Amino acid sequence: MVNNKGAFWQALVFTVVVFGIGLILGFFLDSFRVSSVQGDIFQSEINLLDEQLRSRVVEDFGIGCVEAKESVFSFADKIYDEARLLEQQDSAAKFTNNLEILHKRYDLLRLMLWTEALKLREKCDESFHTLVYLYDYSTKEVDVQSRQLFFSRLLLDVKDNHPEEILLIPIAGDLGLESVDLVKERFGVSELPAIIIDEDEVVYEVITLEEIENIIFENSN
Amino acid sequence: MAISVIEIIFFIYIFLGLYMLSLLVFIYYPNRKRLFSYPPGKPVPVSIVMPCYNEGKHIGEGIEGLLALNYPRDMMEIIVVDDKSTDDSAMIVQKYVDKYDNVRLIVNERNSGGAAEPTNIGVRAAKYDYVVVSDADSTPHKDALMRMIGFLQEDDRVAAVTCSVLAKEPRKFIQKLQAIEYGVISWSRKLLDLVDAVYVTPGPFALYRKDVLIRVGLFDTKNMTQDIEIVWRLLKNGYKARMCLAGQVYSETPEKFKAWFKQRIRWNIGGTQTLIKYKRYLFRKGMLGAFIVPFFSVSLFLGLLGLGLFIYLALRRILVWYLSTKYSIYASSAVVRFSEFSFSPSVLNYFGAILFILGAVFTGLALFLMRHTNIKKHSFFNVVFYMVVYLTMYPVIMVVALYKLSTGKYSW
Repeated sequence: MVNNKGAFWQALVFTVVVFGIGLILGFFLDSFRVSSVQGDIFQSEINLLDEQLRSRVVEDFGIGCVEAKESVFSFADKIYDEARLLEQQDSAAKFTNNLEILHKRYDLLRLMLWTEALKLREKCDESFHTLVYLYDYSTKEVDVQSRQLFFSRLLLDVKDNHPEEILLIPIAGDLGLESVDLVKERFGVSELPAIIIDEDEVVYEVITLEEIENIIFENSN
Repeated sequence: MAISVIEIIFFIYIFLGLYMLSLLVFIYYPNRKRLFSYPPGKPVPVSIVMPCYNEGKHIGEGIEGLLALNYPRDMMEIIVVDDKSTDDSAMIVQKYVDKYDNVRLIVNERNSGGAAEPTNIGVRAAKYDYVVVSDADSTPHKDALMRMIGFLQEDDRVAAVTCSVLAKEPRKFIQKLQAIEYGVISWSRKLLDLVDAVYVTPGPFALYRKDVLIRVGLFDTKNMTQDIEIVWRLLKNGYKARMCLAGQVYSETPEKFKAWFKQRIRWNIGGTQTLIKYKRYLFRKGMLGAFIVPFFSVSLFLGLLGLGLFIYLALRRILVWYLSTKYSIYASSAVVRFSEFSFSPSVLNYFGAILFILGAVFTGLALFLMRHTNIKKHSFFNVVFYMVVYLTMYPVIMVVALYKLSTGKYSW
């Protein structure tokens, strides 16, 4: 019989090579994803700068608040969609933490959007509501994950019901960002997930659609 | 998101899966033209031992199959050992005893509850040096014995020879799946034979040296798969087991899920009993410790770990989905959103998909090469079902088998 024992080593070398190539390709796949999302975020940063300038233009040149509000809402929608795309890519990335860093940048962008929205509301006396959704990005707890999934559905329902009146801003609350931590401290957010409604009330527990709408719109009355 | 412990475990699975597949391919390729070859053998007297318990339905056909072997009648004796059947098995055999002078019947004094004891009785009673052990519900190809015997004659260290065990006339769906399984296993076993790693000589039709069987202590009556245990014992004692792909035996397969499940439980209990018995030979005694014991150990460990992880992840996901849906219903909110079904494949998913495709190619190649040994062609659906559903039952069977083994609640 021919000695075939060499097959064990041949197979090992072959597997190591193929597996190694697979890992390298995986690394490039992750890098490609980062580049792809980075392209989007550069665009968002430009939009935000544009938004900040627009606020000044509104203030300095007396341009209408309606256009400014439309711009904020449009930017918020855009940044929301991009962030969701980022989360999908993030769950698929295995070899790099770069997407987490991008995630932080997005959270900062959304925080800036929130502050811009507040200024706009103050200066233009616009009647829109902010729903800031602080969630736990890295949680493994079943209860927290369940509530977060529920809250994301609930908040999208609220947004769908009142698209022109609700500015929805989701922000990861556990990425160690100083500014986000300050916000949590300022509003007394003790646990995640939490919904800050119009910088006034904080909701932690399961709540009905009707109840949250009552809180949002009663506050304004 | 960085890589987690669970994902590292999945990478290990993929690595080992890829290794096993490539190992078989590296064995196959240089030997591809002589897989079905066998050393020429000359007829010598052979005793065929057929243990039997309540085989009234099959025993006649079983004996007829042996009598039809393309082998000199005067060089063959058939010993049926009845394990105190409660049906008419012994009466049917007696008719053959009356008709043929080379057919003998031995009735065990008690029902032993397994195949090992009646087989041992038959081996002890055998007149000849070469002994075939055959199941009552199996029918060998008429040339099977002639094709197998040369393996014993060309090498004194070879003490056991197995052949291709194939499904006999698969009619029902579950039997067709087993037909696929048997074809793939036969081919894989031949590849392992080429590296001296045959680890079982299945009961349907296997050839042994009588003196060696007696020297190593015959079949283990306490083991549920005495046909696995005997090979490990032969290897431990420095003997070899070989596989003749060209020799075939067609065996009855369970036609109901319950019977199939029970049979697989028994196989798994026996395999685990054997592993426990021989665990101290890890990395010792040639291929027994270098490949067979590690292969069984890793398969058992990864099978259980994989099932555990799968159940854990599935339960987590179900629980999250259940709770969030309960909250949504309470809140009169949407219970599901389209965006929740988004999927972005990771490198793990790509690896898994590639491994699945390679596994499918391997299965397809095995079935293609075994095509002339199978009674019917396998449908594409059956092959896919075999790969996606049938094989995933293995870890479940293993868990049940381990439970029964640990509680001692098992029988033949």
